[in-house]
Amino acid sequence: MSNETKSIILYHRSYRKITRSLRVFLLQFLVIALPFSLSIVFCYPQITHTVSIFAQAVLIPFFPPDVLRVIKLPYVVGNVFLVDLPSKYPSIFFSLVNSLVCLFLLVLLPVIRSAKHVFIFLIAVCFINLISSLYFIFFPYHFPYEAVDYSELYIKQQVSIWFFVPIIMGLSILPLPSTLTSKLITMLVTFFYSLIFGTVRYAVFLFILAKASLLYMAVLFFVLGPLVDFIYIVGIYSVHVTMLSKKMRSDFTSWNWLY
Amino acid sequence: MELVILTLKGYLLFTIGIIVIFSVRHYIFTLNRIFGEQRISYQDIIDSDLKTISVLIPMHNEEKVASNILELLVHADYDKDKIEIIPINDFSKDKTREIIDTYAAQYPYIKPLHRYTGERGKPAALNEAIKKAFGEVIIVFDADYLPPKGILKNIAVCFNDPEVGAVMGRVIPINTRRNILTRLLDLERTGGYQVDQQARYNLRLMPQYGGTVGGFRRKKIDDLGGFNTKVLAEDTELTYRLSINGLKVLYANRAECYEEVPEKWHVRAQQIRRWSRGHNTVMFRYFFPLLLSPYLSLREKLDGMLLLLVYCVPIILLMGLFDSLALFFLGKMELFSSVFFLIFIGAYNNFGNFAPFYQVGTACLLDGAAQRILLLPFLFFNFFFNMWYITEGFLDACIDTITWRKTKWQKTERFRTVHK
Repeated sequence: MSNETKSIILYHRSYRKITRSLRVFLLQFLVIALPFSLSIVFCYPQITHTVSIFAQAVLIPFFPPDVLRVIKLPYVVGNVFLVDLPSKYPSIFFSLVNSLVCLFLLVLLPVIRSAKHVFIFLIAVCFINLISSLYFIFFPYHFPYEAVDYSELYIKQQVSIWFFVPIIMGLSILPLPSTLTSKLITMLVTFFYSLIFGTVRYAVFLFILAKASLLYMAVLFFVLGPLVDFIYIVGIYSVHVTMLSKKMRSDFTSWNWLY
Repeated sequence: MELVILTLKGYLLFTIGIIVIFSVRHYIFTLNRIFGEQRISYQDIIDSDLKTISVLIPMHNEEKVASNILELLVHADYDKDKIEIIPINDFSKDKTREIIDTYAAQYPYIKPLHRYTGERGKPAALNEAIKKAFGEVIIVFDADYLPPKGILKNIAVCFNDPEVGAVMGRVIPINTRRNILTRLLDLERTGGYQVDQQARYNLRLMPQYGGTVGGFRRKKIDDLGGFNTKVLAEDTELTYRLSINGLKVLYANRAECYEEVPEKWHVRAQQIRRWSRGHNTVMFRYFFPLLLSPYLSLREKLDGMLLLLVYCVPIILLMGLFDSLALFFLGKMELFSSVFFLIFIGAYNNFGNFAPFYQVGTACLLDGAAQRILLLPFLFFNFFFNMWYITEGFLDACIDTITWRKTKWQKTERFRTVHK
């Protein structure tokens, strides 16, 4: 061990904390994260318009001409744009096959012992799809929604997610002792990922509802909808923290102890 | 029908409210751990005469791990005149008895307790051992733990403060690298101790005694009539019994001890179901006594209440999912589209789901971890796993409470390789 190393006594992890000021964090939150979020409130008509035009362009080859339209609806302080599209109701046979597949999986999946956490997630997917299938078997003419209702709900939910992304990333990343540039990059990457992911998913989900069946609307909404969004938010956050953690291993000025 | 829909809507708002409360709690704890004044444990501020201690190690078929813990404890840094080690052989059918007796023959302060009659299980075993113990302080380790040399001093010294009723140390998994499950459990433990427990200690709330890597004042447990053998979570129960009777539970983050976490999913499922069952039984029994205790401050009561409800939240969420499904098929999706609701859903999804991850991420950063933080998104799947088995445990607890069913202790399977 060199003398230089011996001169440094590292703090034990038990009581160390980060050399950052709560005031600086709050200031950065007010100056960066909050205006970022508020800008979404003023930009969402343009954003949803772009998203809808993109989804329409992707879906047009699969539909007869003039079936897909981009429409606007009033929402909060402006309009949201969304794709209006035809719905496809499932046949009894299709619903029956779906329910049987789900039932089979619901019997099979609980028996599997490895990777149980993933299988329990799949059980939740199967369960919701089973309920939906049974609904279309017993009340095929009472399903209360069209594909356009889902389209509207999806777009409005995405607006709320885009609004919350800067806030949540601000709350979690701004207190950390990484550079302001890296924080801004992380926040922007998360936002743009959310924008791209949300757009692609929108087109895929609309395709499923219009071409496969409305039967899948419940699963798309409850399991693969906004619940999935926070996985990539956590993913990007974890990459940022990992990089910071590696850097802090050699930067002793980043740590405080006790007070 | 309108009433049904109104009730369903009301329940959904209740669910979101609960999530928001717990999310705020996670954020407060995490921010406190990052920015707040950290309370150190007593080992760093007190150094005086140590009390006599009895180290209790409940063992049921522990041949894979028994010699490891005994070997470490005989080399522990503690005055040998003031210590006794009581390995409790609780109805073992393997070689646990022989291993204990071999050590007892070499070290006079190891005083085995072999139990083959009476009630089975950890609480009953502890009650019997406490009657035999001479220590003013009782320190408990589960058999799979690997206590470091100084931990007995670190825990025992806290009892020089007469207000202290119990002390809890930090648990760190030793078999982290075995598979994805052990890595994910390591993340959960890190968040739970480095941030959650330490922040509660910092904020003078109610840190939890976890039944192992910790100790309690012997006289107090005698006064309280020992452990309740009908409760599976004797540790949580002790936390509440001591707190509502005016004693403090401390958390010593510096008192680190290694443990073996489950390496198989079905073992973890069994473990979490047992925890949920025990914890919820304690919730049924201590919710109102906690609120009525004259010794606790309002914020201690609030924290204690939220801690009691921790194993109820997954059930509330599961019901919330069914509730949402019902509203969906009843044609009430316009509810989900309203601005008000979307703000709540946004908060629910973003903060409710994200807050625990933020806590774990911060804890890993404070620990100096790196690569393992990348596994954070995988905890998403644990959420469903935990929800499933915690719900099963909750139902067990309900049946236990209603029918006075006798609980049967379930030992967690060990995975350590036996070296011959």
